[in-house]
Amino acid sequence: MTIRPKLRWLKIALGALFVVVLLAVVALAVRFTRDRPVECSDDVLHFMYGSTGGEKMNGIPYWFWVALPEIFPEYLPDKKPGRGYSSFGMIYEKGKDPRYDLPVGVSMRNYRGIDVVYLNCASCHTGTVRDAPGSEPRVIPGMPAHTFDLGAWGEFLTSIPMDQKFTGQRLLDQIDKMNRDPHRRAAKPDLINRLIFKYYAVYLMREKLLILGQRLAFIDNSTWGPGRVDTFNAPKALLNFPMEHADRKELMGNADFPSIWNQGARKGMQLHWDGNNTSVDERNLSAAFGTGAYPPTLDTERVLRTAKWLETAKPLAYPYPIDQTLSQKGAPIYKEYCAGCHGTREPPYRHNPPENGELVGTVVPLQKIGTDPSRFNSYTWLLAVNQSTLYAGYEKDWGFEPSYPQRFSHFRKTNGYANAPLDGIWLRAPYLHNGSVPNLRELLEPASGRSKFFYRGNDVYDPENVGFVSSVAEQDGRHFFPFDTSKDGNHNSGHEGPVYGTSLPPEQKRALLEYLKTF
Amino acid sequence: MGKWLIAIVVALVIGISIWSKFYWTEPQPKSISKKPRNDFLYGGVGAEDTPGLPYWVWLALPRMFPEYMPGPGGYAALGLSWEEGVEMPVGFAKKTVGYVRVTGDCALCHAASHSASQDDVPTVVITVHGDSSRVDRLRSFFTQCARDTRFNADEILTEIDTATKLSFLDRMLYCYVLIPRTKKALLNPDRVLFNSALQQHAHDPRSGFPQPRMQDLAAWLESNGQKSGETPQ
Repeated sequence: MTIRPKLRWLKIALGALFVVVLLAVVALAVRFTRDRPVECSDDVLHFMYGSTGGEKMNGIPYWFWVALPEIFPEYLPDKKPGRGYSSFGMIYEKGKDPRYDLPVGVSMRNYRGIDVVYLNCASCHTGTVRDAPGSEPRVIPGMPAHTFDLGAWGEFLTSIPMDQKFTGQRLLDQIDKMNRDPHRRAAKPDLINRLIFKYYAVYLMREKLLILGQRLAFIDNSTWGPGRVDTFNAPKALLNFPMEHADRKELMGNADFPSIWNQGARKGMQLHWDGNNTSVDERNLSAAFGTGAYPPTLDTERVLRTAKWLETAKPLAYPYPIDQTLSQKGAPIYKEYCAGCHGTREPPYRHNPPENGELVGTVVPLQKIGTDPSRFNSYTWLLAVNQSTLYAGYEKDWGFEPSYPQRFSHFRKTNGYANAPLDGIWLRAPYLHNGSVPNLRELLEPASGRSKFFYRGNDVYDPENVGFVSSVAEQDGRHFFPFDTSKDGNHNSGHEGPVYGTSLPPEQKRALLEYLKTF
Repeated sequence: MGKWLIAIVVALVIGISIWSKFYWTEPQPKSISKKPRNDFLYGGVGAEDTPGLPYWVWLALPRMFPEYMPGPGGYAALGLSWEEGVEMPVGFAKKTVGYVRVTGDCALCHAASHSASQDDVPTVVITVHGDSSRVDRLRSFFTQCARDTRFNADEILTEIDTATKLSFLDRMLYCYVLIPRTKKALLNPDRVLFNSALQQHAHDPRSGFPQPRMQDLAAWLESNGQKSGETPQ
């Protein structure tokens, strides 16, 4: 039997078509299953730009990230396009272009063929210090991000979905415009991604931002200012508690971002400002929710890499002159007044064997410490028990053998605020859990002698008072956050009285301050 | 011959999968089963006879339907006791019988929260005299959820996806069997949560239990629970 030439050509054509379709299917399958996080050779770079996995569920396409400040400058704090996210106090390292590069604390991952970005640990735990206005900032990983206004950033994002300019076409036009810029850093999105951006991503992002905005609506993020967050009202939103029925006193829990060095020595201590958890692992995973990393999306390997680095990460040593003689006079004063609660200068912070009455890493009752009760009241027993369902399923009795991650089981309602070690204390201003005292000098005064009003968010250092400059409202076009200690959650009372050193004679306070610079 | 062999192997694999997903029973962890107090609070009482709530549906409901909750706090908002650090509120038993399921136990009525003041963390008090008000609130919550149009596989799986990554098989099981079945069953929550013995007991508290397991629990409660009128410790 002979095959007619026509039929033979048809067969060849069909065969070729089959091969083409097969290749296309394989190519698409590879593309849409791709999951490639940014790789950092160095642990510090990994901390600053590495991924927690949060981009998978909550990532913003890179091209949207760079286009949004250009399209919506009216929602930026300074209303000026062309400066990326710097007006929120996000940090762009030297040589980076804020229009196209990512700031510290933002990681990138190619997920399903699209480069998506989101926050990581460093967004809230990396800060800058300047010697004088206009001088080059030092970027210090692990210190509180005292210039970053997370609340304003959230407000920016949640304002966008209601704006008529948030359309696929408008975004693509902006992306095209940026693509013609010779300074652009990333490759142009290809046809498939452009189609996804226009017909899918913009709608998905709107939906997600609307949900986020509504769930977080009960939290007044305009009261945070730079360097602060309402830590434990966020998980209530995540668990979708009906907060309209909540007791009013739990609705405000503003607290300073903490420093996160020397975590190894903190194992077993009561962590968080109110000491509600004694597990470093759980505390890390709880914070990772804030970076969008949920149990199904957590990048275990990369989060563990950061956690491991933080175990021994150290603060920068105080770079300004220290009066050694004076500092040595301060050491015994510290031992007498502070060490019992705040521990020794170096890890492990506790004596071995423990000295009598050593209280570092434990909770002091609220009535005794007398600091602002809002953060304490915001954390409730009802939240603590529900947090025990986070990471549910990750347990040995479900057949999950690896010990990480594990279901949360360490959250507790406490009766006060925890005594933290003071490593790198010079970088942790403003002071107290709510950041209501601008510098260490004032913390050694009774509340009546502390500033009732000051400005937050300046990174120029004030070695005289040990803290950041807090008396300047504006500098180089940047407006600082007016902090009024008479407002809810901002009270600067407490941690005062003879045992707290606020009644010491001035020269002893001076010596103690000098000694604290060596931490 | 070859064809037959393949058919038999395929049938066996499917059969074993189905059997394991519906009947494979795993004992509860020793921290529950070996401690009489925890066994009373969290131990399954014949969970095998109760369809129960599939675990991930149980977890998702308070997060999906806050409008049917009286306040913040998940199941604790309905008045259930809940010990810190423990996965389940008091009165709920989590057990694997095929799929992981949640059923009610004696402690749902025979345990209460006690706190010295409003700001104190409550402790659990086991009480000889039952109080069914918590069951009433649960019943009303579950029924409202089941009647809501958002109680469907699509929306529930979306909520579950924020909490865990289901395997393909479990996803199919939830999507096509467990969620539709639970929606229908929850219109009568008692039959979902309680086995026939507990339903009978709720109907007539004086009737005894024929099951040895229930008799043991009842005896333990009689000697360890707080009698009414006693001040909780």
